[in-house]
Order: sequence, then structure tokens, then C-alpha cells
Amino acid sequence: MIDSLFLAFQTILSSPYIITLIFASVLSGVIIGVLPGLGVIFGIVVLLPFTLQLEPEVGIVSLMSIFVGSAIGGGLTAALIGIPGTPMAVATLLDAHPLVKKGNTNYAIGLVIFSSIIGGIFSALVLAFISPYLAEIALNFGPSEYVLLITLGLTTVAFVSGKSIFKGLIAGLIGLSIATIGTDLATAETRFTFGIVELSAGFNLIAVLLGLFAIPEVISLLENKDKTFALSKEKIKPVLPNYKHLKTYWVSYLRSSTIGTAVGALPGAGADIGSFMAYSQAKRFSKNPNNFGKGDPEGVIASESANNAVCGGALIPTLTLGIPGDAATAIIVGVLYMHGLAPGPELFLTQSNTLAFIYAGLILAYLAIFVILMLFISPILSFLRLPKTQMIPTILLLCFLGVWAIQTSYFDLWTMLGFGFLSYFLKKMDYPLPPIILGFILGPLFEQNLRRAMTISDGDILFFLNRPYTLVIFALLILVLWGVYSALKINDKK
Amino acid sequence: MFSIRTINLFGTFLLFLYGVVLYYFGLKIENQNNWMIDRGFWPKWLGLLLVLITIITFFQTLKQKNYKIKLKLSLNTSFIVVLTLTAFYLLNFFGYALTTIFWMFGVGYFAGEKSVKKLLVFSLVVVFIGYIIFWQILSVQLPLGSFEKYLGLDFFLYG
Repeated sequence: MIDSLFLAFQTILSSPYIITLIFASVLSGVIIGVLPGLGVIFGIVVLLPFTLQLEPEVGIVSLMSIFVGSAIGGGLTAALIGIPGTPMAVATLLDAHPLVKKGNTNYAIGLVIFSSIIGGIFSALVLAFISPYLAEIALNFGPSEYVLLITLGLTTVAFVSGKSIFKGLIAGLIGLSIATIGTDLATAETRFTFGIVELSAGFNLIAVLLGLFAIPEVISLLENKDKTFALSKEKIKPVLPNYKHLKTYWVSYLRSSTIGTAVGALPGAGADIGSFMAYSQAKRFSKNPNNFGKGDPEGVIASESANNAVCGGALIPTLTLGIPGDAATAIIVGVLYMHGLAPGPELFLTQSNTLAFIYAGLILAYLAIFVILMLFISPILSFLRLPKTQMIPTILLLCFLGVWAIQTSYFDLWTMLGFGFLSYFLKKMDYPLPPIILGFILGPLFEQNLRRAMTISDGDILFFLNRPYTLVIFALLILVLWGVYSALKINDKK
Repeated sequence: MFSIRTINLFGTFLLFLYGVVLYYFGLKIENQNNWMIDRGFWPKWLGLLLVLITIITFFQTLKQKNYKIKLKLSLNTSFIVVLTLTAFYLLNFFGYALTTIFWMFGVGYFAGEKSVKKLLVFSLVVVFIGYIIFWQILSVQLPLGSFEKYLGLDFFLYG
């Protein structure tokens, strides 16, 4: 792995085109992450059509750069204006914003940047070195293991992503049912197309993604009466932590990055959960727990290292098993398929160089973020002053052109609008959207494996419990569901 | 303002119907090649699961705390929706450049910008940037309208 990684670094660093692309992707991601309410998924979805025009590995690196860029952008807004740009930055707000209010803006921003980069690079390295071993184990998996793994992923996401477990499950089922439209993979016969030719390949992923995640956000922006966000005109020059700081807090960096990576690797547990877990652990181990929430640097370190480490952690099951744990990684799975790279253990056998390229690209993306934020943070933050009257039409046009660019189809434009309205009303009724996209992307894989497993077992459903790996996954499924259920019960009582 | 419980009950009922339809269509799919697990198997189960879970959700909703929410879009948002639908229809006739300038102008106006000069400059600049990125850099064939062809803009813009 080390050799491939070095080779990948060499390839990327010797190509001004790829370097420029990483910088441009990171910059776009940070800008979208900075704007409150838009978030990581929005960033990925809106900029996704551009990445599809690129070569597979370059496109994926670009997409991941957008992913990590928008994750860090959210932390900056949380610190500066007290509004988290992304849900994962909520824990950052608790200490970073009080630090800014005390007049330590440059130090707070420096901490956000540094902690994010440490957490991100840590998880990227864990991803690079642990994934091949996990993929080796996953090579023994058959269709029944995949059926149970997808069930585990889908149900956990459905359980944790909404206020009601049943609404989460319904959302997952909606996604799975949408995926049944089009040509059946096993029989090559069409299903539920009702004579509409455009439906024979199913709904376009990009149109569905933009409809589900971008359109409701644009409507929310329209319905929001604030014209711009309040931001002081003070020039920001991030101050990086010194040696003394590192000596004091290195354990905190390590602990939070580890928690973030581990939480990220679990299905359903997103960056917001990871950052809060790391935050509460940092508070528990701190000598001055009472300082938390009042501008303690350790609070910022914990939350930012963890929520960025989640990004790399979430890619572990995504790449090794082909099973994403949340909406953002589900999109990455969809994009990998669109580029002809089916994620899963076989990818490690056939495309190990591509994977090394992706890991190296991810690490370089964090370094690009560092350079960009150290040099251009003030111009980036000035996007917060962009009036809604210009932001809304630009975002909408970007969405329409993005969908159009995929296969120049009017049908896709209508699909996007249709899904936009569906998600607007589903959101109003408190139905979570991530299970829909997870179901939509995993649906064909689930059905294919279910039918294969049922055919092998001659229709015997108990076949799922006859293999050692399936038993372990089944036990894990029960454990996770029980854990989530009890956690929700405790929450309800509170 | 609508009652959240009414909206949820109505929404759950619609999803229940969706489950029934899915089950029905799954059932109607013929097993043409005598596959052991045919292509109707999965939709049938999905429909059944959806029906079961929506029934549970329906009764859960009855116990839910009630409050009012705003479901209707504001007037300006509604205008933007209508404008967008109109623009989709007009694309075939007016093409990318003309339709998008008109649409951007309208969306900007209904989003709150009232200065015609600013709107015009903004629409022209964004449409031009979109044209450069998608047509010139990404080589994406942008919609060409019959009116654009009539005006000879097709050669100028997309030639």
C-alpha cells in the first residue's frame, strides 16, 4: 500500500491539472459549507455533475475534495457567526463561537482549521491502511451477507435520521421502491415504466439527488426573510497552534480523531454524532470540564477533529463493502457506479492503484484546504455577504445545468422538479431524506443479492442464518437496532 | 396554517395507497421466463412492508402532539415555481440563452431584488458564465430553441 500511495502522490503532484482541480473543488466545497443551511450533501450534489465530466479517479478525488471542503466550511461559520454551516458543526459552535466573542477570532479560526486537518488526515490514513484488510475479509462474503449488511445499513440510517423510526423506515422503503423502476437487472425486462422510454434505465441519480436535497434548500432560502448573514468586517488571519499547544492537547487530537473515524465507519452514525461523542469524551477527560461551552480550545479540537475524521471513517465501509453509512457516502457509491467502479472488495483486487490515488487525493485535499484557508479566508467568508437575490437564481441555474449536462434530457429536468416537491412535502411531515437516497442507491444491489441468495437456498429463508458471517452480521443488526431503540426511548423520557 | 396531525394523516394515507399500488403492480407482473424469484417478488414485499408500516404510523400520528405549520409556499416562491415551469416549456422555443436570461431576471426579482439594472446585468453575467463553463469547457450541448435559430443566434452562440 505504501508504494502505491507514494506513486499516487507522485502522479498527482506532477500534474498541475489535478492539483488545480483539487484546489478548485476544495474551494467550492468550503464556499458552500460556509453558507448556513446548505451543508455537505448540498455541496456534493450541486457540484457532482461537474465531477462526472472528468476521468473516473480524478472525478472521485474532486468529489471527495468538495465533501471535505464543505465539512470544514461549516465549522468556520459556526465559529464566526454562531450558526453552524452544516449539522456536523453544531458541537463546534459550543466553544468556537464563545472564543470568537471573547475577541480570539484568529485563534478560534486557526484551531478550527488545524483540528479539521488533523482529524481528516488521520482518518484518511486509517482508511488507506485498514481498508485492504477489511476488503480481504469481505471477499468471503456471499449474497446473504450482503443482504444482511445492506439491511443493517438501511435500518440504522432509517432509525437514527428522523424523529420517528417508522417515518425513517418508510423513507427507506420509498427509496427502495423508486429503485425498482426501470430495467430489472436479473431478467433484463422493464418494470413499472408504463411505456415511458426514459424510465427504462430508471430515474437519473443526479436528477433525484438534486431534487431531493437542493430544491428544498433553495425553497427554505426563499422562505427565509434574512437577506444576508451578519458578519463583522474585521480582517481574519488564522493563528495556528504553537508547540506548547500541541504538547498540551495532542491526546485530545488523537482521541477525537479516533472516535470520529470509528463512528464514521458505523452505518447511520453521522458526523454530528461523532463530534458530540468526541466532545463529551473530551469534557469527561478534561481537568477543567466547567470551561467547556465557554470557549475552551479543547472543545473546538474535539468537535472539529472528530467531525472531519468521520469523513474518512465513513469511506471505510463504503469502499470495502460498497455499503454507505450515510447520504453523503451513498452519493459517492452512486458516483463510483456511474464511473464504472463498483465499490466492494473486488475493487481492491482490480483497482488498487485507483484506490491509492483516491487516498492520496483525499490527503492532498486537506493540505489544499490548509493553504486556501490560510491565504484566502477573508474572500471566502465574504460569500456570506452575497445577497439571496443573487444566490438563489445562481444555485437553481447550477442545478438545472447540472442535470442537463448528464444526458441533455428534458425528462431529467422534470424528474428533478418532481422530486424537489416530493421532498419539500416529506420534509414538512418530518420524513428524513437520507434513507430515501440510501434506499435508491442500494435498492438494486439489495434486490440482486436477495434474489441470488434465495435462488441458491431454493427459497429457504433460514439460509441467512446458516453461515458464520451472516450470524455475526445478524447479531450486529439486532445489537445496533436494540441500542438505537433504547437510546431513543431514553431520549423520549428526557 | 395547517394542523400537523391532519397533514401527517393525509400524507400517511397517500403513502399507504402507494404501498397498495406497489403491491398490486408487483402482483400483476408476469413471470415470463419461469424465474424462481421473478421481478415482481421484491416490489410485492416492498408494497406489503409499506402498507404495514404506514398503518402503524397512522395510529402513531393520532397520538402525536398537534400544532400548526405553514405548508403553503409564499406568493413569491409560487411565482418562481410558475416561472420555472414556464421556462421549461419555453426552452424548446427560445433555447438556453434567451430563456435563462428571462428566467434569471424573474427569479431574482421574486427573490427580492427590485433594481432592473442590477437584475439585467446579473442575469447576463451568470448566463454567460454558465454558457462558457458548460458549452465551451465541458462541451455540453445546451438547449437550442427554434426562435434562436430563426434569429440566427444558433450560429453565433453554438456554432
